[in-house]
Amino acid sequence: MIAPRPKKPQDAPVTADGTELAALRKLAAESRGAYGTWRPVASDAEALDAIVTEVGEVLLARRIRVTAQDTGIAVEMTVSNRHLVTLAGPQGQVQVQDAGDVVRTLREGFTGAGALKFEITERAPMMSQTARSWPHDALRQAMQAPDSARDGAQATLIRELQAMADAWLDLQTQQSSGAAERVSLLTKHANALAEHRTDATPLQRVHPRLSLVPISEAFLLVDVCLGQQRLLLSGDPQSRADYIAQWRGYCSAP
Amino acid sequence: MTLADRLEMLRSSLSNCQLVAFGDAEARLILKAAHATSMPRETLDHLCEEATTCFATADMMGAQGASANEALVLTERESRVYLRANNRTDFLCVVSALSEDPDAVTEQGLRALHEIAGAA
Repeated sequence: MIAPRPKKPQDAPVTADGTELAALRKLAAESRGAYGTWRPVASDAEALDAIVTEVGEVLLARRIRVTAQDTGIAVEMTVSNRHLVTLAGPQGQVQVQDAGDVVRTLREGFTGAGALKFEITERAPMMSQTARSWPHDALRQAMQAPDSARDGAQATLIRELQAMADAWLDLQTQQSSGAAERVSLLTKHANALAEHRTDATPLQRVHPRLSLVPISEAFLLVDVCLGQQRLLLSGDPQSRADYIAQWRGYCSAP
Repeated sequence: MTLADRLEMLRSSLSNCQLVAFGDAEARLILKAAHATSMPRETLDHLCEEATTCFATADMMGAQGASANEALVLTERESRVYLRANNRTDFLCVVSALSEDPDAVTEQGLRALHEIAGAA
């Protein structure tokens, strides 16, 4: 015997805070968010909000291209069941590790967008069965999480590393400190890096990392990359464990 | 013992080891890798690029001695140890959890590399 279906609450009133009313309002609203049209965004936060909102509104699997008008940056998102499954930039799939990473990548990539255009490029795209995805709610939460604690931890790490080093060179500000001979070596390395650096697109987020390359018994090259900031340091090889401890402390900070 | 067996032996002997790979920095290619879960080709290519960069940096800055053949890269989650034998172009890469002791990884990695490189 087939169980009777539960009765729909047809008599339930439509309240001002009800989802039904919100859905009706949205349906009645002017279709300013149609695919293939430019949607002006007043700020970077609004651009990010629009992209995350799009993820939250897609149920059936879709591949959607998002283009920023003023910068020309375009990404393709594979979205299904309100989950972001993949994010691909001009150089291929962007490696992201968690929802916070997705949000940071989108925020950096869509800075100064001016207007956004959403286009469906593929319906029912193929998706790996083992693909990891980020739900809309997690992205929304990550958007609201303050970055100030992380910024504080980053500033502390830089101060600590500079204090431990014999010499250092900040590639962003071009500030340096320490013995001229060591600064000169660090500058030589920085110039080599600049020569070999490929032009990274804004969506190729550089993941934080600390590299330790021993050069001699008295010279440990320390290369710290923290998003836009990159620091080269000359350290004592005997302090290798201290550099590692500092990095682990930074990574475990909230 | 094949190269694949030796890499797998090293991987299973280290706790929290995600990957052990053997590559050639000159060819910019990972020749063989042992890993527990599936590993995208892009990840292997990235590790090869990182190894090449580390050793090229050491060579450019005139690195000398045994330490010139080692490099360590720490990310937010991982520790990547890169090892080569006597400035050769072939290298070993060991990816472990950030909490792993890189000295212990280096010690075991060097032993494996000498067996592999000695046989090559």
